[in-house]
Order: sequence, then C-alpha cells, then structure tokens
Amino acid sequence: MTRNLNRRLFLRGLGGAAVAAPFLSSVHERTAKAQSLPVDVPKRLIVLFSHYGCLTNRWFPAKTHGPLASGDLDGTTLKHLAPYASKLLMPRGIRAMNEWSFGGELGQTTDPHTQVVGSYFTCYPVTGGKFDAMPTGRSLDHIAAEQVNLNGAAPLHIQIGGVRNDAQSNISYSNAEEPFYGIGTPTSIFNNLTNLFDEGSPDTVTPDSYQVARGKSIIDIVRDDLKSLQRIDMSQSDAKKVSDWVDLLHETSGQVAPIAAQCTRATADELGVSAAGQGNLGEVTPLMMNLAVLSAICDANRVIFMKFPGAITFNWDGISHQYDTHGISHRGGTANMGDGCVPDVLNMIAEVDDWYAQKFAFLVGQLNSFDEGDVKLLDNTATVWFNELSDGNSHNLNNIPILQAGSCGGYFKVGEIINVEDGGASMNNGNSEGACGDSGKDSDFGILDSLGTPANVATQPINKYFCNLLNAIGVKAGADGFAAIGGTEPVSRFGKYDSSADFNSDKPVTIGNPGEFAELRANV
Amino acid sequence: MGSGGDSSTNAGTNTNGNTTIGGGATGVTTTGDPPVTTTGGGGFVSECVPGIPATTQVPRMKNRQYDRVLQDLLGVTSATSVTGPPSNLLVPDFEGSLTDIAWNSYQVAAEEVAAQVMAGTNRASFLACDPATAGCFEQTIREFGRKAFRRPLTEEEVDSYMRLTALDPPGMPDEIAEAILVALLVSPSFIMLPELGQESEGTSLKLTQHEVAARLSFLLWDSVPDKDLSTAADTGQLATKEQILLQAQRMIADRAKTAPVVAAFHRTYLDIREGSRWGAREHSPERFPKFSSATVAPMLAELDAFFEEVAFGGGSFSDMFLSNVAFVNQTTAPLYGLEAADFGPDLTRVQLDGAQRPGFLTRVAFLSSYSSYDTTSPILRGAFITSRILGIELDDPPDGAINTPIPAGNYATQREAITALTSPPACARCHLTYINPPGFVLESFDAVGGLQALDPLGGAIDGTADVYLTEETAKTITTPFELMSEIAGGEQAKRNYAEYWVRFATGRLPNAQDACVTEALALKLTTDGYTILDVLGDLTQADSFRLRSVGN
Repeated sequence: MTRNLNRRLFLRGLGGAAVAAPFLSSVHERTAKAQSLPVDVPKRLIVLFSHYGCLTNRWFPAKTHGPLASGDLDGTTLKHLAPYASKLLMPRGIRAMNEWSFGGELGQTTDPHTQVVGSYFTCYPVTGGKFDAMPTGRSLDHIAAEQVNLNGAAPLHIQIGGVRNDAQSNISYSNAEEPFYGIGTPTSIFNNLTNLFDEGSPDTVTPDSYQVARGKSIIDIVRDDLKSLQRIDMSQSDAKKVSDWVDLLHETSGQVAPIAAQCTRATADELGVSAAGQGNLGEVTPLMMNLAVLSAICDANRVIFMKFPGAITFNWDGISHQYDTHGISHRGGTANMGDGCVPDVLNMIAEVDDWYAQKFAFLVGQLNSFDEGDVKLLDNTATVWFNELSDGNSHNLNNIPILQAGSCGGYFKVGEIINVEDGGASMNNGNSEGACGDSGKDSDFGILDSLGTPANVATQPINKYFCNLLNAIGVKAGADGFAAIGGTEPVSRFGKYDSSADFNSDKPVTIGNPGEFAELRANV
Repeated sequence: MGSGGDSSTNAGTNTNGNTTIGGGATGVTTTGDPPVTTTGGGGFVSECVPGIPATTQVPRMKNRQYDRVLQDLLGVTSATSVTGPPSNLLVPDFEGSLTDIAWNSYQVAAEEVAAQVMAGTNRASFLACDPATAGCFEQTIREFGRKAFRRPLTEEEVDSYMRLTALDPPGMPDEIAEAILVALLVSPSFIMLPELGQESEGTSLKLTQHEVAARLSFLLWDSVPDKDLSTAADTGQLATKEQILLQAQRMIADRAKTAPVVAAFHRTYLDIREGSRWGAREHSPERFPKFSSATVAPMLAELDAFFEEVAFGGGSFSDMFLSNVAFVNQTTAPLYGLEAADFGPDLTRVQLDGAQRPGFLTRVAFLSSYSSYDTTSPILRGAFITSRILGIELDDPPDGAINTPIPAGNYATQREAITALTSPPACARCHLTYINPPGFVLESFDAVGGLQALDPLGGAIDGTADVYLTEETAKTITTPFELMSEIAGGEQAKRNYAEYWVRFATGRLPNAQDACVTEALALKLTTDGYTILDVLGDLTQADSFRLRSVGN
C-alpha cells in the first residue's frame, strides 16, 4: 500500500507522553516555533546487523561489478530483494576491521567474535579480555546521531529479540568502553512515538486543557530540578549527563521539526505496532522493523541501528534447528571450530541466511511503501544490511557482505554492484561450501582459512564506506577529516585504523587510505 | 568437542573493561608467556593505592532498585500496561546520558504508578490527608517528597511542586495529587541518587548524612531509607563510622529486606543472569530423563535460597563451599537421589551428605549448567572454578592452540578424552595445569548433577588431580569435599570474593583505591567466625563510603 505523507507542519517533542495520560505542553507556542523553521527532508541511516557471516558463494550474485538487475539476484540468497533491484547498491571488495586470525596478522587475537563486534562500527581496537573486550572509540551510530539528530539525541538502537549486554553482542558504544545497549522491548519505542502522533495536534487537543497545563508544569519542575544540579560543580561527564537530560525536555534549544501527518496512531495500528508484542524472533522482527519505519516516518530518529541476536536457535517460520546460529556457522553445531560437520549444516546456514534476507527485504519493502514528497521514504535513507563476518567458519572480514537500499536522497548510485577494489567483474565470491557439502569433505581445523575468501581479495577498508554514509546524511568533519560537531568539511577519516593489521599494534591514529569511495557516489 | 571453542568457555571470565591484565591492552598474547597472570582476584586491579576514588555524583537507580523503591514507598509491585514489575516499562540499565526513549519510559512508568496508587488501596501511602482539605498538598509534597528524595525538600522545591496546585485551568483535588506524584517520580532527585555535599574532609568531600543514609539503604536494601535511618540522618547520627555501622547492623538484621540483595550479589558473583551459562544448557532427555526444562527454575532458586541460608544462618565464606544444606522440590529431588513423592512444588530445605555434596558447587545448578548436552564438561567446570572462584585469570589461548578436535581413540572415561584433547603443548599449558584438574575432581557428578560411580564410557571415575589453588601452588586432591575445603580455606578465593563484593557495592569496576577495601575485606574473611553478613557491614566502613572526590 502506498501512503501519502502530507508535510503538514506540526511540532515534536512534547516532553514525553504516557499512553494513558499524555504530558502535553503549550501546543500553540510550539506550533509557532515549528512553522518558522524551513522544511528539510531528513536523510536517515538505517542499519541491520546480523552475526556469523553467511554462505558467501550463495549470498553474492555472480556479477561483481556493473548494473544490478533483478535477474542478477535469481538463485542467490538475496532473491527476496529482486523487486527493489533498482534501488539497491552492493559495494563489493570491502574489508571490515580487526579480523581474528591464528597468527594475529590481520588484527588482535582477543576472540574471533568479541574483537570483531567491538571494532566493527568503531574501527578502534578493543581492550579487555576474551569475552569482555570493548572498543576504545565511539561507534558510527553515535558519531552520526550527535550531528544529524534533533538536539543531538542518541541513535535508536534496537536489539531485536531483547537486549543482550555482552561484548560479543554489543555493536553500539556511546563512548570508548561505554556500551549502549539500546532497546529490546517494542513497548518502550512505541510509547515514545506516541509523543509525536497526530493526536497531539491542535485539531485534537485543546491547548488550554488541564492536561496540557499539567504536562507543561511537570516538565518545568523537572527542568528546575536539573538546573539546580547544574549549579553544582561536577565532573565533565556528570555535567553532560545533566545537560543532556535538559535537552530532552525539548523546549530549551528551540530545535523542533515538522512531523509528517501520517505519524499517527492510525498508521501505528496499520503497521501493527500499537499492541505490545512478544514472541519468538519470527514474530518480533516485523514488529521491531515496523517500529523503525514508524520512527523514520515520525522523524523520531535519523540513525536507526537494528541487530539480530547472536547464538540463537531457529525454531520459527517453518525452520526447526537443533543447533544455534553460532554453532552452525562453525559447521559442527558448537562454538568450536574444526569440529567437523553436522548433517545438513549447509542447508541450515542457507535457511538462516535466507530468513535474514527475507527480513531485510521486508524492511526495505516497508520503507518503500510510504511516499515522502515526490519519492519514497526508502529513497531518503541509506538502509544497509551488514554482516559480522564474511564466511562464518573462517571468520574472515574481507569480502564482507554489504547490501544497501536507498540512495539517501540521491547521494549514492543505486541499481548497481560496485567493486571498489578494482572495478573488476570477476571478484572471488568465497568458498563457503568448500566443506560439509555433498563431497562430504569435513570442516576440519586445517582447512578453515580455505573456506573463506583469500585474504588478499576484497580488502578495501570499510572506514571509507562509513565516510560515505556519514557524508550522505549530512555529518560534517573538522579540518582533519574526522567527524566533528561544528565542522564544515566532508568526512574523510573514520576510526583509529583502516588497516586491519594495525589493530595488533600500538600505533597512533593511522588512516592510510582517507576519503570516501567516490565510485559509490551519484553524479561524481 | 573441542578444547573450548572460540567463545564457549566464558565461564570464569570477568567483565573487566579497563585493566590490561590477562588479554592485555591490545589483546596480544606472546607465545612463551606464562599461561596465567596474577590479578589479585577477579581479574581486576591488584595494587592498592590509598585514597578516595572519583565517582559519579549523579548515578541513576538500577531497575531492580526502582522496583523495590516503588514497592516500599507505594506498595506498587506491577506495571499496568505490561506484565511484570514497573521496571519492565523502563529500558535496561545503562550508563551514560538518558536517551529520549529512556526518559519517556520513566514518564510512562510514573503515570502508570501514580494512576494505580490514586485508584487503589495504597493511596494512603502517598496521601496522608484529604486532598480537598487546605494544606494537604504542601504536607504531601514535604512528607512524601522527603521519602522519595531521601532528604528534606528545600523551600524552593516545595514552591516548585506547589505550582501544580494552581494551574489554569485548575484540576480536581485528586488530579492535582496525582500530578504531584507523577512529578515527584520523574524528578531527577528521585530517579538519580545525587551526591552533592560540599563539605571538605582533607582533600575529599564528605557526603551529607542524608546521602550516607541513601548509600546505606541502597546497598543493604536496594531501596530508600526507612524511618529510623531517615531520623538518624535528620539528627546527625550518621557522622562517624561507628554510627554508620550501628545502622548497618540494624538494617542487615532485617532479613526480608536484605536477603534479596544477598541473592542479587551472589548472582553477580557467579554470573547468573539472562544469557549466561546458568540454566541455559539443555541435556539429552534419553540419557538424563530426570532433567528437563522444568528443572531450571527450581535449581536456580535453590541457589538464592542457599546463599540466604548461609548468610542469615551466621555462615561464613567456608560454609558456602561446605554446607550440606540444599533446597529441593519434586522436580529437583531425584537429581539428589531423593524421592520426588516426598516433596511438593515449593522448595524444601534438606540436609544432604556433607561429604558427598559440600556447598553450592556440588548443587545441580552448577553441575548441570557447566556440562555439555550429553556429557560432563571438566573444562567448563574447571575453568569456572579456576577463573571465577579462584580468580586465576587465564591468558587467551596462544596462536593456533584452540579448537582442536578430540583425537580419535578408544577412551574409557571422559577424563581420558579431555586429556587427549588438551595434551598438545599449546593447550597443555593452561588445560593440564589449571583448567582440567578441578573439573576432573568433579567427575563423580554426571552432566545433570547426579552421582555417577562409573563413567558413561565404561571406565572407573578417577577424581584425583593436582589442583592449582593459586597461580603457583598445586595440591593433590582426591574428592570434591577435599577440593571444596581447600577453596574454602584458601586466601585467593576469599580475595576474589571480596573484590566482587566491592564491585557490587560501588557499582563500578574496582579501581586502585577500591583495591585497598578489597584487601582489608579479604583479610577479615580469613578470620575465624567472620560471616557473610559481616562483609556487608564492613563495606560501609570504608572511607570511600562516606567521602567522595570529583573526577574529570
């Protein structure tokens, strides 16, 4: 269904609202503020993250560079995305940072998952031990959100299936070694969105009602409490906590935005997100994705990161596995590598890969079903599916599977596969089925590396793609090229290192290959 | 089975994020390094540097504390729009600034709680007067605000809240009362535990006595001060360590309020949480028909009950490892060799053969959680004991050493198989020396915690092993009882235990100043007659309990 987003001005940030009894402050006052602002279509970065890699040779299309037609996806894991082929961008040839390897040649040797997850969106090394390692820098979502969100609000981080607060799962860090767990329950997200719904508009709320006066007064009291705290001499981090809370009260900065007319409870009902939802991952995933879509419609957040849990046993949507996703990624059904193959394991991995692809297609489809101005909501986003690893058993990070949907307001080329390594049309798609298949070759310890993509293939640093994404949504950098509030330059540097091998060093910040991938840009 | 996998042996790892011990700042492991490093327990910081650590002045209540506070203040135990306690409306605990969703969730919870209180039988816990009568609102703001903020409100604050009584358009008396409750429950002074005292003592700042009272009540009860403690703060009776200890001892004796904290601590100590190993291991129903998913809840509840029993029975550190008390129900009884028919659905206190079943490490919860699907796992059990209990931090496996499959062979016991698996030199350094031996000692317990005289592979159980109880010292151990006795009597496990308590009490990863508190507590734990509850009292005696310093 196609919906039309009338860009009727409305105000946001009514200071929080409870489902039962909304806090509503002076609507007229805020409307006046809102109407004085220019209307800009927001650009959003929406990320979906899954663990443990995939069968790369089924996931990637045969074509590795050139126009992407729906037929190119036939027979691949990504076939569910075929209807959106003209809006897809597949950057090929990219390496994520801080790969674990036996000899430590490509990164730290902390743990094949902990270090990768911690470094993935930070491109900083991790500190700590095998299962508690945390990155020493901030992650992409926070770097983006502080510049593009209203009042610099934190990103929306959704852990589909519930919050897991362990280092093998955390992808979001608000600061070095400060994990940002995000939200695991739909109710919290939905309750927050009700603040923005159309019910709060002048048409449906009497601005001089007791409820409005009450809500405004309570917020005033909270603000007074916080201001009294601000008079106390505190550490910088404590002072920031207090001032960030003040910012959440919305009235101080005057930064308000228009809200789409279809940011309503009716839309929520239509998307099926109004009722508190629970259940297995198959049930909760569409719910959480629809909440992300509604958050985008309502412009509640411009940086939305979602992730699937690690180590989960698929038993829904017609899939019934005995082993968890980590175990099957290792082929042996356990967390150990080199255990040999459990029967039918490649098909199990394929089922998981397929399910993830279906869910990404669902997300893309939902975003593509709403109009926004002359285009679809999807077109004003970069909606990207990242995977933790390339092949799950070799744990390699080169040839990392990335699929983007949406041009982010025309910033990116779409309808293309772009090999950023050399533009070649014959890139190696990996060898994930080199063991455990019909040939029966076991996945023993000595052949793990040969199951991935050769280490010298597809090695362009993911940092550059992150620069693309930041620039696309409007993040600015300082003179040094690193994202910085108040900056005016394009972002050309991200993270601490862009060479995986440097992660096993004590070097200072070293970005050897700065700049974004120009070849991904439209009109460049 | 491999030698642990790339992420399977998280038993015994700590959640340290800031030390360079063990994995090292860069995670580099150099072949030839000693396989373990002395961490001083828990893998945290070992060197005591006297002083008062810098701490946050504006910590937020934990969600579990939020629930206890609402229960104690208002009798509210559940949310309205979702199932479970009010904190189910909040986002999970996290550090750092509030987010819009987190802030909104506090507001939603406050609205629900306030509506519930005003409409329910606990209304009097908030309103001691008729809101239609003159002076009731101000009285309520002062009296309930005093409890909620853990200190008297300033006149400025009272005036601020009184604004809710004079809105235009005006609300009805009950509406105004409800609005006041909402406002108090979303106040930063309620949601956070601010420590703002400015009086100096040496180079540090003294907490106000109301702040000391809040530290006491949130440490010992996870909740707000009661009337006695509040009065002590109001009347200046919390100025000295002795006065603080007096109150602490009174509070600790309130078993109903302190026991949940004792349970919460021990869950932290042992890493019992959602997503950890505990209770997550399924077992082959063919091989272990006495174990099912129904076993998990009572076996984990048993541990809470066990630690409460030890603590409030005047027990000491050694009793945790040696007590013969167990708590069973009809589901778990057969795993202990007891008749299911003799028990109902509730846990019942029983006494087992203490020589056979000494302490919590011989209870079903540990033994079944730290096993494999259809076999025991000496590696998991041994790694947990070595690392988590003894505080010996094991280095990451050296390059290329991990994850070798069990070599082909005819093994008569699990011990033989595991020994073969871990015998290559790179594995042997940690496994044969530190990890495997305590696991082998527990091989007389099967994968679900039942006793086994014969190994399922057919051989006799060999439970004798040279167990390293410190990094340097091994001792030949022949029985689980002997192992538990050695752990219970050893200094290393006590220091580790003390460090977890300090971490729990301060809510932070122990720093160098905290290490001094840890050392003092560890020393006390070696004293005859020193009890678990004494630890709680002594945690309030550190200088850092009543002083603070400002960080950067």
